[in-house]
Amino acid sequence: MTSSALAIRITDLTFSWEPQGPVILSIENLTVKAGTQTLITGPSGSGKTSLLNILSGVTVPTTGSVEILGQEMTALNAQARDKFRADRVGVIFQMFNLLPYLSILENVMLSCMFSSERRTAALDGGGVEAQARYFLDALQLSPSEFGGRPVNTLSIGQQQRVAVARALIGNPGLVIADEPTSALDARNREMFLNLISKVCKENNTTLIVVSHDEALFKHFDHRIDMETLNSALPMKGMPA
Amino acid sequence: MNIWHLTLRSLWSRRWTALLSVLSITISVCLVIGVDRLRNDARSSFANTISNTDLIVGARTGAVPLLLYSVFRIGNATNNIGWKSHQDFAKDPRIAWTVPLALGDSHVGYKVLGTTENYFRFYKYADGRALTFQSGRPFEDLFDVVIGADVAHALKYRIGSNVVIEHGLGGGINKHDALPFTVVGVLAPTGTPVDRTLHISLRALDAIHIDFGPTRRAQGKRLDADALRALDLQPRTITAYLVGLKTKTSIFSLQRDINNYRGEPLMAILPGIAMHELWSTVSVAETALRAVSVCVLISAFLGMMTMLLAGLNERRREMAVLRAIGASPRHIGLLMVMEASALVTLGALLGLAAVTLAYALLADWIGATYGLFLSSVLPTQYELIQIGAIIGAGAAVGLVPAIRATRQSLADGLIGRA
Ligand SMILES: Nc1ncnc2c1ncn2[C@@H]1O[C@H](COP(=O)(O)OP(=O)(O)O)[C@@H](O)[C@H]1O
Ligand SMILES: [Mg+2]
Repeated sequence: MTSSALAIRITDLTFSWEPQGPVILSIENLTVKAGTQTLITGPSGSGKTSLLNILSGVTVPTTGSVEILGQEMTALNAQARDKFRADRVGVIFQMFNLLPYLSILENVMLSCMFSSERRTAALDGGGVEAQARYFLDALQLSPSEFGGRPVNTLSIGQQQRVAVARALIGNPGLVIADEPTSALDARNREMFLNLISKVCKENNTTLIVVSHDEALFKHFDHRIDMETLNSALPMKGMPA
Repeated sequence: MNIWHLTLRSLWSRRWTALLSVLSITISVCLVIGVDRLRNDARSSFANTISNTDLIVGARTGAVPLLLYSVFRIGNATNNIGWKSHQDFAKDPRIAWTVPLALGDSHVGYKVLGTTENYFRFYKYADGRALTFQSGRPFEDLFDVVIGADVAHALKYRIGSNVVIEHGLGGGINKHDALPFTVVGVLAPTGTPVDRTLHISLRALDAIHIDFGPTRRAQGKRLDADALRALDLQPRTITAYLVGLKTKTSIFSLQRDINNYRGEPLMAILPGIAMHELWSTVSVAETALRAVSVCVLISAFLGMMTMLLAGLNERRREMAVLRAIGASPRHIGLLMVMEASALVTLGALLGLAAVTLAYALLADWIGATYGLFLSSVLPTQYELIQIGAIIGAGAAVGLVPAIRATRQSLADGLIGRA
């Protein structure tokens, strides 16, 4: 298996937020195949968000290597990593994903603002706006009904789906989501996960979702438990 | 959509707070540009008032007061000078011409100047321009009056209008009802105090004072116009006179002779030097005004900085979204600088427009009321440079929230800390 078939490859990673601070992450080995859907679970404070910060290129590990979509992240400077994220990674937050002063459609198209690569990719789908409409539609938000609406007229569940459309426009290769369903009720959570995994599969996009909720597992190909992955954590069942 | 577009949309969503920043910048730019304009116009308006005059001679006071009351008709002479001393020097071989000036009377708030025909020949303004007549001619008869353009316009006087000259500076007690003057000439506008002056002959000035003198009044006898015409009127005093020389080289020797005149204390000044002295007095006030307007500008900048800094915390989410779509911390900082630039640019342009508009609307009124002739209505190149500098400074002020925002978004990481 060549590294290009891997979306993520982490080797001998350690990470702390501050130079002399506590080690938050210690991961010997993690690989995620391209085009798969992975759920990373773990209790709060187990380093899930820190890991996503590394996967998105916002920060780099203190030691070790992280390869994303074939690119060694530690070889890039901060600006190049930001550019890499603009081009190749879609990000979904727990909530407040949208800019309130833009319309729904504009929020989706926002991903193409810092990335000519994603703009170009969107052109294959008929142009940036056409692709934005396509994804909104795929996420069951009729673009003619919702496209021009202000953000604050949507429910949280609908806002999260707009965030998925924005993460997916321009074919980024990797989508990461940090607790995307924790603000949703059960019905919306099911709908959200069904849609996101379906659309990612259709577009052959690698999806990494982190959550403290293990019950989400049935929507994913793989599940990784932070408590086994991250050896910086105290052993399971032992007090911290 | 680009980052500019995004900045403007974001600002628009906060338009009411943004508007306050813009307005305070507008006001301070109005002040900065307006004060500067008034200063320049005051200078050129003053500098244009007299030209081609080598010396101004009057009673011994300061150079600036003499200049002010003789040329600008501002204030009053404390002392007059004798007609005899004027005659002594008028004969001097170094002197080409003199223009005697006798001030002190007024007509509905406009000053009345007693002078001679020389005034229309030798008084020059701006860059050596002579007075011209819009209509009519110089005074000849004792009761002829030649009026400035503003007087004619404001009081709706034409050739043939009757004018009553008051003794002193108005107030309406001492009307010379018996001796109405007739307008025989209207001067073309000059943009100088000449426009707001009524000119009569020195003899006429003397006549009204004879007729209205305390002796005459006590006796209850008034002479009629023809009786006055018949008198051999000789002015006894004048306020000042202008001197033109045959050759400029004699200016200092003549000045010395006048200053040392034994008959009475006289003083001769060079208008250019007196003007310079005037500016050095005024420049303190100018500097103070400028300092105040710059302080107002600085406080407007601080207000804007406060607004941007105060907004940073509640905009953490907005920044995180931008980071998520690939904005670097530098982009976040740039966003702040662009917001500041947009606010300052809008404020500065509004300020410039307001000054320009105010000028266009108020120029006539200021000219009539304060004798300040406002020149250019359109922004000058210098003003545009100033506006550019203000916008640049505003963008630089934006660097402070920019650095804060950059640091904040770096520290937050992508997802932000719970
Ligand atoms: N941006 C950050 N800067 C500094 N420390 C952080 C930051 N984000 C998280 N941490 C710290 O990293 C540790 C792991 O937290 P986190 O990665 O958020 O775990 P989880 O998402 O699983 O709850 C915590 O101690 C937290 O305080
Ligand atoms: Mg977290």
